[in-house]
Amino acid sequence: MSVGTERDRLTDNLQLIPFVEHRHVTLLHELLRQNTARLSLGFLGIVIALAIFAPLVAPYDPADPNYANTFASPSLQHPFGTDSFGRDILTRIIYGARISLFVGLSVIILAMTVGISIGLTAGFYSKTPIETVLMRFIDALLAFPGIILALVIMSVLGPSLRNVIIAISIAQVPGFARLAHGTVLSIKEEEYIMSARAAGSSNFKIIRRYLLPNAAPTLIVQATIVFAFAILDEAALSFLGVGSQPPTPSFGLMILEGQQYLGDSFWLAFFPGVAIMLTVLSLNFLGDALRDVLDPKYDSD
Amino acid sequence: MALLEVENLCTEFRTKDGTVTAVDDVSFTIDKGERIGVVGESGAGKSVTGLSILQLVEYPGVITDDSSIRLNGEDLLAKSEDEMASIRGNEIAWIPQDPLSSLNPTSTIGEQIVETMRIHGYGDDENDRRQRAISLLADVGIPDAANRFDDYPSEYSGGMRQRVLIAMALSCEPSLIIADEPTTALDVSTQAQIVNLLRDVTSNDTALMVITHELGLVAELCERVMVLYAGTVAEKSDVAGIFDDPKHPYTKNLLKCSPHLTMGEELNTIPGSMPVGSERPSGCQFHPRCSEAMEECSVVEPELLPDGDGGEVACLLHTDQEYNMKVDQP
Repeated sequence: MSVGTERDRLTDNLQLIPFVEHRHVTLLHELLRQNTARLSLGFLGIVIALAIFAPLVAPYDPADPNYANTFASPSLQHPFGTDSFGRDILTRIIYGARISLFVGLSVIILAMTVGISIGLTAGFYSKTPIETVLMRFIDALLAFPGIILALVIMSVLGPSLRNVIIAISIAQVPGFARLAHGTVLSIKEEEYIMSARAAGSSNFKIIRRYLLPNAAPTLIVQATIVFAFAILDEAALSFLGVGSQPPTPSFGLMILEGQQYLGDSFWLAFFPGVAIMLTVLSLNFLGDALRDVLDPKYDSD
Repeated sequence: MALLEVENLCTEFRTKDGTVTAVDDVSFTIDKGERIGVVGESGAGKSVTGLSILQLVEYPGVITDDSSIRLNGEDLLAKSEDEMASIRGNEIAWIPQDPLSSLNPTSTIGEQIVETMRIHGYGDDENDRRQRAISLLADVGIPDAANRFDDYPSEYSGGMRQRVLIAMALSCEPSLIIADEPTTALDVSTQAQIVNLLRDVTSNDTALMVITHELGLVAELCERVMVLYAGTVAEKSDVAGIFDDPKHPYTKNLLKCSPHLTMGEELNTIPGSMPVGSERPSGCQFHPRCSEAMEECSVVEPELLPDGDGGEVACLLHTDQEYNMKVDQP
């Protein structure tokens, strides 16, 4: 894909949305008018609450084996059944949500900070060698599929949760950098950037007060999508054996452990799979709804 | 001493397809408190002249080394980018062309005015700046200024936003305001109000350079006029001279092109178009479109010389230039 077409695609689809403060109040209000947004916000709220209060709400200990009760099918005692060590799957899913949310949040913070810094700088210094170097570096990163890149990084760094976060963040940096770059390129052409210069604003001030706030809505929508990707990537890396290590209750690891028993005891892999699906689906719905609400052409009536 | 002295200003755009000269050897002065109009068709180099003074010509635009721009005797072209930033908005303010898109949509009206003062350390403290911003908004005719201070640009109409931009330009008491087509984006009745406002706010010692294609605006507002054609000065005169006795054929044509409120009158146009890009005619830039062109006009580049009426004109018809010297060179 050439740079030109990618840039065109970005700028064509881009809605530069004024992100003004008083809209924050109406933003939530507008979001809650959409059924999908209400549902996904509700579900994510429950997931976040469960993750935070996991030790209080989980019925059992996530790592405590019970060899007398392995492969128990779903029942009142164990709503989602037990696994090959007799551990309660519901408990492990509740603790697994902790890991997924922690990974997602960390990846967003890391990838956003690095990606936006690169994209903003490249966009601000467009048509200079700074842009060329930064964006060609991003292009090089983009040449690898995200999960392969993460796999390579994981095999270099060694498996641990911290390294999972680093690997996924690196894989997600190009997306943020490209988006920030494209957004900044189009905002830079706005007249108010020229008036800011004519009023004597420094480069730093223009980036901080003009480019970043005006690019924010686009980047926030991207953040919800990346959150979902990070959860999927973490599960995939764990499933491939280079991510979280047993007995950590990661969704991907639970599916890996459960897949060999799929024929007899489907619940080992099924419920963690459903948990991933619902969380990722909710995040994607939320991203869609946010994009609609932040779009100035969006009409709530 | 003049407030602003521009000498031999050349601004070129060095593109891959060759060098395009947007401003070609333009010289003029602006005195303290004077209002001057810079007139010409689109692409005549008016805006680039204004941006060159602020050194905000965008890549690949370059101001050549022979150019000289002095403000109060100080050479602006020798200044660093930081020094220029402290002059922009402070000594020389800019009123942009399109009020609808020239304000930051993510920041309040008041904050944007205060910001300009904050950059230049104007005012004692935040409260002082806020008070001044409110009184400026009131001065430019924003009703209920104190309550509209925290509004966002989207809550202001086009005319009001142009007033805000004027208030921003005035905030640090600049000695020169450059207004780029300040009324083009506005409807006729709003235009008249903005013209009156611009006249009022520059009635003290503030000089004003109005860049426009509307001769009517110049007649209303300015004391002197400079007509640009293809980056060169065609004619300089006081306002009365331009309207009563235009010397350059281009100026005469421009005047004929201005619409009048007469029923059934057909609007005049100047045949052909201004040279664009790197292809420029030899001799006088206007001669291919000039109805009074003579043979030598295609060979001799006319110099800007006194026209005998206090103005200056660059046309062989009006000056007994010694063009024979140059005629020999093909």
